Amino acid sequence: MLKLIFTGVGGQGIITAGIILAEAAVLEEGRYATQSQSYGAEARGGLTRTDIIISNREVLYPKIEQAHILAILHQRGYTAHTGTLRPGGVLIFDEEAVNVDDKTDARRIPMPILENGRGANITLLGILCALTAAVDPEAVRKILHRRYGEDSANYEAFDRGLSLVSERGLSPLLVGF
Amino acid sequence: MKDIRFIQGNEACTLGALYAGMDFFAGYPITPSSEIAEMLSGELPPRGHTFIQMEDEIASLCAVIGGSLTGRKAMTATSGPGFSLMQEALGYAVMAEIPCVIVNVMRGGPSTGLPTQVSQGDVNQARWGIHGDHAIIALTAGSHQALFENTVRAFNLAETFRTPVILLYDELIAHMRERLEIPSEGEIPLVERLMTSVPRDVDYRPYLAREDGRLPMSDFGGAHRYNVTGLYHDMWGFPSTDPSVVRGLLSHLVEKIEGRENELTFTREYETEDAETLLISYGSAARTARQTVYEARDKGIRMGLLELETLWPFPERKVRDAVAGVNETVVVEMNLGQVFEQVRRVARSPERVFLANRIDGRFITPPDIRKVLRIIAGKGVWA
Repeated sequence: MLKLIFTGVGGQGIITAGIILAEAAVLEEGRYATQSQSYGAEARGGLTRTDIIISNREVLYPKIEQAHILAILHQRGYTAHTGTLRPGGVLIFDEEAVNVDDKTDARRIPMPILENGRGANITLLGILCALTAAVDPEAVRKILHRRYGEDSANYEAFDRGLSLVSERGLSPLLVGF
Repeated sequence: MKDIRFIQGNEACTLGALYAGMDFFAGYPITPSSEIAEMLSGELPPRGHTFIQMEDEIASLCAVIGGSLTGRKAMTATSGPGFSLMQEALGYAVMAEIPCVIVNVMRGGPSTGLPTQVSQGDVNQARWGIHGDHAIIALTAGSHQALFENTVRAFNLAETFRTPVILLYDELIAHMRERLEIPSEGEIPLVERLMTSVPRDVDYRPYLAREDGRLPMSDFGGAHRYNVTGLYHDMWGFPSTDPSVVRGLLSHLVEKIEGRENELTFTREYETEDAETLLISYGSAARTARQTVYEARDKGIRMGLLELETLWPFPERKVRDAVAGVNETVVVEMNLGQVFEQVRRVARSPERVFLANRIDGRFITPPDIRKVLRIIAGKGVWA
């Protein structure tokens, strides 16, 4: 089982990223997943969070108390949700927008995510695929194809995420399952 | 090739309704049910079917009643505040025996309450929201697969028993996304309306039951002229205060539901065979309860779950039997104990029935249940 939380502000596309990741696991890999989101009066600019659980069997309890992976695209998400990362968990964050203090017990993965503009959420998925065994990159590409067709800037954004991991000399991490 | 989707519960409900042949929707969108109206506004018109966004929830259910009388499989969807407004028309649908489905996606109440958060506080409203003695069918679901199936089942029961059926689920199920495998066509049998065989120009008595209790219908405005009223009425549908007519109609309305507990009560059991501790739950709370059961089993604790999918008529016999064989029963729900009171009512040892609940708009957790189990065991909790 792999538990992931994405957080940011409305408009960054983290909910969509969470859905795509879970769809890849369920629709392309035949596994089980749940995706839920904090559902408040948040609109563009409000703090958002999505919880994704991927498993080889049915997921019953869909909320996450301790995530294996926490991805943060806005400082407010760091302040609000750092406590949901399990001790020593993987913290992926935008290296410009998010300051992680020294006391945070996490494996830190700073990345230039937001510089990919509107594709930033998909770049995050590329990073996740290269860094973990969350889902196969090809499964995500198939979902991107279903949702956005042949001609989409999302493929570049996704590949950018994959290559960022090797550019930074990072090797895949063993998390979850 | 299996048709697998990864969708929200509200979409699973909508797809279930379309599978059941629903062809008339009137509603007023409200969180957390809005996705149903949103999706149907796109799905129904291209099929030549009816979608109406009404001015409010009273009108919504009134339109549904009209749609049903003219031969449609009709549905509306709302949440607590809208369901409150619908009560007058719901009573009319019970009295006039109108097959229809009312979806209530529960959010925190009373009043506008907690629009975007989870609650199971409308269980008693589903049973007693309308005035007067009556019986009602209310189904619920704790997964998208069950929600799809029970949406179809709601239409089937509505047609079989000529009654409104309430489908009661909660915000967590509504908005969460998970896997749904769409059953193939014909996999779930559909109940179509029982139509009268009385020819045109021959007297049709709309409220004359057959021997099996079912009442054949005739599309309103079609071959037969007849009266429909919320007043007590005779077999012609005309108002009556004759004591035997009144008594006969009320006992028919109640007995056609209360007298069929075995046909109408659906439950699921997990790990109950040798259970010493029984959890009883429903809707999204049953997911937490089942998770708690599996975690307990991993530690060798004999715990089981009885999940209710029919809330009304209350599954008295099944609950009484399940409770009888265990040391203690814990009802898990997100309200002040609405199903808990029912379980206590039917249990032979009500003092062995306990409540694990949550009322703050947050989803109930396994530790919430374990705390109650510790107190029952005399171990206390480290607050």
